[in-house]
Amino acid sequence: MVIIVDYGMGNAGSIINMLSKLDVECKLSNETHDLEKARALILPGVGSFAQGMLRIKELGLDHIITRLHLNKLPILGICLGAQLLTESSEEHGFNKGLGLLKGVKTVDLAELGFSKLPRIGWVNLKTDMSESFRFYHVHRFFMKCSRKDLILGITDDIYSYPVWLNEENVTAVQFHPEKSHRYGFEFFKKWLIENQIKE
Amino acid sequence: MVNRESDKRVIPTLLLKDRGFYKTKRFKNPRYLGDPINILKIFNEKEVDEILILDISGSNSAIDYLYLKEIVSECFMPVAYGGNINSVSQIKECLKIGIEKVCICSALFNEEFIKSAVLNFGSSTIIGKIDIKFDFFGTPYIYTNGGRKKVMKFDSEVVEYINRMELGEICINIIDKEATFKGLDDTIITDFSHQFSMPFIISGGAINKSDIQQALNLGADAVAAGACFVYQGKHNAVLISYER
Repeated sequence: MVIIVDYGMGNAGSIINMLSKLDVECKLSNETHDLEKARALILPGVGSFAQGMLRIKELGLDHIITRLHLNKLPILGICLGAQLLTESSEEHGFNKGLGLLKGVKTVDLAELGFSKLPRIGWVNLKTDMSESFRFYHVHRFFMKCSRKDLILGITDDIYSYPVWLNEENVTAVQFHPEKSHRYGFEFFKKWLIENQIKE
Repeated sequence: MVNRESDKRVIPTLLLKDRGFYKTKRFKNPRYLGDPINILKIFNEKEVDEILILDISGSNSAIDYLYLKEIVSECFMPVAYGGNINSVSQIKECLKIGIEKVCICSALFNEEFIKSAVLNFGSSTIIGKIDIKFDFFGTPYIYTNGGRKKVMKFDSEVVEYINRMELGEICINIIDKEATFKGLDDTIITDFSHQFSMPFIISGGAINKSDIQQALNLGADAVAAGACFVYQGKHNAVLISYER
């Protein structure tokens, strides 16, 4: 069972729809016993970093997620969920994240020269993989990464910033694979297979 | 100048009423198009950038979440929903059932509500939609409640308010042009798109691909359109299309 971590923020319905279509059992929950029995965790999220971190702490999910991470449980963060896996964010002042991805910080896209924010739309990716990927993005902040070895995908535009990170059991994506048509299905299949959740 | 070409979007707009999709002309005379599940399935297969569903049943009807959940379950693209959204709890329900964004129209100038919506769900979840009619002198005025209530002049003060509210997107819809195939409003795009600090969606009157492209070139970040994706030919035969 894949558990979609329920901390009250995010479009869980869309993720459930896509996983169900791929015949993967999943459930939205924030109960300790569900998380502990999970085959993998998905941290969704839409909203502000500070608010997200606050809710995670209120529910005591930070300790559980950190512990399960040490046991190498596959964890996928999407959008805000991905940003929460980084060390910190500068959205609405400095806030610490879960810190699962060392050397990664969440910073303002304006730093890259964007004039209109949030950035909303479909963006092609540059990866080392054979497939071509195009994902729906909607974000005001991005994961600034000082460790090249974590980066699996960057945007294929003049900004070339990282949007797909991976370190062992942890995957963090800035885009919304659950809303990205066939590219999204490909992404989830890949993640499920690589983490041996699905054959 | 930042090149944002790759993010520009073209968004089919579908009007929901009595469990059917309809198309109006200048907000009047709703004409039945077909079953929402089938129509959404076609748009999903055509891999559209995004979908905007607007409920036009009127202010007295409650949102049928179960039905919405059913029709969006096969939408693997971003879905925005609008129609009488005026509370935080409604937005929460929408996000639960597979909708990513809500479109707020009549309640857009309820400052307290907009602030709490943005705070609770993040700006990217909230699209502000402004419906416009021009008066005799060509001055744009904002209308709400399905185009029946004249609210205020559309000017830089409105822009300032929207920017201050930190909405995720703003959609400007020209009521007088809806489904007329008279072309998207170039003047509104040129005058206003750069004034907003968030992505600017223009809607109303789209003719075809080249008209849409021109609007994007003029500064719109996205185009929302109904008639040109559901009608074909001079007699407006219903045919779903979406050309890239």
